[in-house]
Amino acid sequence: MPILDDKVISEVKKILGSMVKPVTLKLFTQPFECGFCKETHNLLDELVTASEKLSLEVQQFDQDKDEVQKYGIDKIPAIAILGEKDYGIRFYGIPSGYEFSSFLNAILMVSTGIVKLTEDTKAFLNKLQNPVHIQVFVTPTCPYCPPAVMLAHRLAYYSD
Amino acid sequence: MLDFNLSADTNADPSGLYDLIIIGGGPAGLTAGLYAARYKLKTLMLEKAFAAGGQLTATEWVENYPGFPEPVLGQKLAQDMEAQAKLFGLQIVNEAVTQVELAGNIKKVRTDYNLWQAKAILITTGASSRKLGIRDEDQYTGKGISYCATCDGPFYPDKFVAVIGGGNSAFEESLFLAKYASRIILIHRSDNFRADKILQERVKANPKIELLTHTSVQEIDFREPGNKKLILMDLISQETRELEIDGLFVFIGNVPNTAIFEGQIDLEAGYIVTDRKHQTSLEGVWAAGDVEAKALRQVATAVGDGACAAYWIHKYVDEWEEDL
Repeated sequence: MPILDDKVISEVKKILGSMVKPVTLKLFTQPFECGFCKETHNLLDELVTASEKLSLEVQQFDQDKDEVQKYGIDKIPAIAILGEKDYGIRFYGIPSGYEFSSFLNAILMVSTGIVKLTEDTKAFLNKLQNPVHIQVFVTPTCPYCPPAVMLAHRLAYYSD
Repeated sequence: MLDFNLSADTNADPSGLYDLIIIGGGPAGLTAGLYAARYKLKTLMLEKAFAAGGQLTATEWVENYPGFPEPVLGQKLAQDMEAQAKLFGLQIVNEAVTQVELAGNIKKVRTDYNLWQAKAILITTGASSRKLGIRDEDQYTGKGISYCATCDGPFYPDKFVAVIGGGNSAFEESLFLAKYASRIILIHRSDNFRADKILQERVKANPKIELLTHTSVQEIDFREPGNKKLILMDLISQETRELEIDGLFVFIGNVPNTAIFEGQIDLEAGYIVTDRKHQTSLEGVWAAGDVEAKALRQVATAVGDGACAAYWIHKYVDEWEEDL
C-alpha cells in the first residue's frame, strides 16, 4: 500500500518538474525502524521516483557515526536536504500534512536557487557574525506553521 | 492515516497587467477565482498565508455547507476549492499585500516582493479572530493563549483548558478540544448563547465540558508556565476568583481585515460597504465574503458572494478601456 496515492504523486511530478539542479535527500533512520521512521523511509522512496533530479541516501543513526556527527543529527527520523552543498536544512519527524508542502518547497528552493527574501532581510543576514540555529516546532495540521518553516529555510539557504 | 497537503507557489509574472487581482484566498476569493478563470479573465490571487482557505483552514468540521451530508474537514474543503480554481487557471501567489492604490483605471497592489497591476480588484480579505483586549494577551499568544483549536489543541493532551465565547466557534472548538483535553471550561458573559442549538446540545451532553455563565476574564497571570491563572469575575455578584488552567482558547468573534483599504473605500465599523453587485464605493473595486458589511458570515454565503462579484467583474473587464 503506497503512502502517496496516484493523484498526489502526479501532482508532485508536476511540482518537481521545475527542478533545475540535483538534490539529495539524506535520511537518517535505524535498522529496526522507529515510529514514523518506516513511513518516512517509504515516503522518500516514493518521492524520489517523481523526479530524476532527486535521489535518496539512507544512513543508519546507530552505525554511521561520522555522517550523524557531520550533519548534526540527534534524533530520527531525520532528513537533510542537500543541493550543491549543505545549507543546514533538516526535517525531523515525518513531513506530512501541511509540512509536506514545506518539504517540497525546500527541495525546489535548493534546486532552483530562487529564494524569496526582502532586501532588508538580506542586509540583516549579511551582518550576522555568529552561527544561528533556528528550530521550528510544528503540528502537521497547522496551516500557519509552513510559512515559519519556509522562512527559516530561506534564511538558512541565503546565509552561509 | 497520513495526510499530505500540496501547495506550491505559482511563478506569476509581475510585469503584466492582470484583468483581476483577488486579495485573499478564503472561500469567497477561491470561488471568485474559479468563476473568473472560467470567464477567461487573467486572474491573480494574492494570499498571505501559505495555504489558501482562510478561516476554513482553522475549522475542523464543516457540517452546514450543502452537498456534504457527512461533515467535511475544513482543510479538505479548502484544498479542494483551491485545486478546482487552479484547474481552470487561477494563479495563486503567496505574498502579503502591504499597500494598495485603488483609485484610477489601473489598480496597483504592492507586496513585500512585487508591484502587481490590474484592471479590477476583488477584496476577499475576510476577518481575523478578535482578541480579548486584556493585559499581557499579546505576550502570551502562542504561549498559553490560542485562537485556533485545530492548530493548538494537540498541545493539551489530558490538560485543563478554558474556552471563552458563546457562539458557534466557541462551541464547535470546545467539542474538538475535548478530544485532547481531559477537562474544558467554557466561559461566557451571559447565559444566552449565540451558538446553534444543535451545538449547544452536543456540548451539554459532553461530560468533559462544563459551562460557566455570567463570567468574564478580567486578567491573566501566565508568568509561571506551570501555574497559569485566570482572574474571573462573576458578573452578577461582582466577585472575582482565580482559576488555574493549562491553556486558554479565545473565540469571541472576528474583526475585518481592512486596515490597508482605510481612506480609499467606504467602510462601516471596519467592514466594506458594497452594493448588490458587491461593488465598493470605488469603481473597479469589489468585495466579497466576510469582509463585507452584512448580517451572515458563513462558507455558504461567502461562495455566493464570490461568484456574484466575479460575474459583475467580468462584465466590467469586458468593457474596460485603457484611457477612460
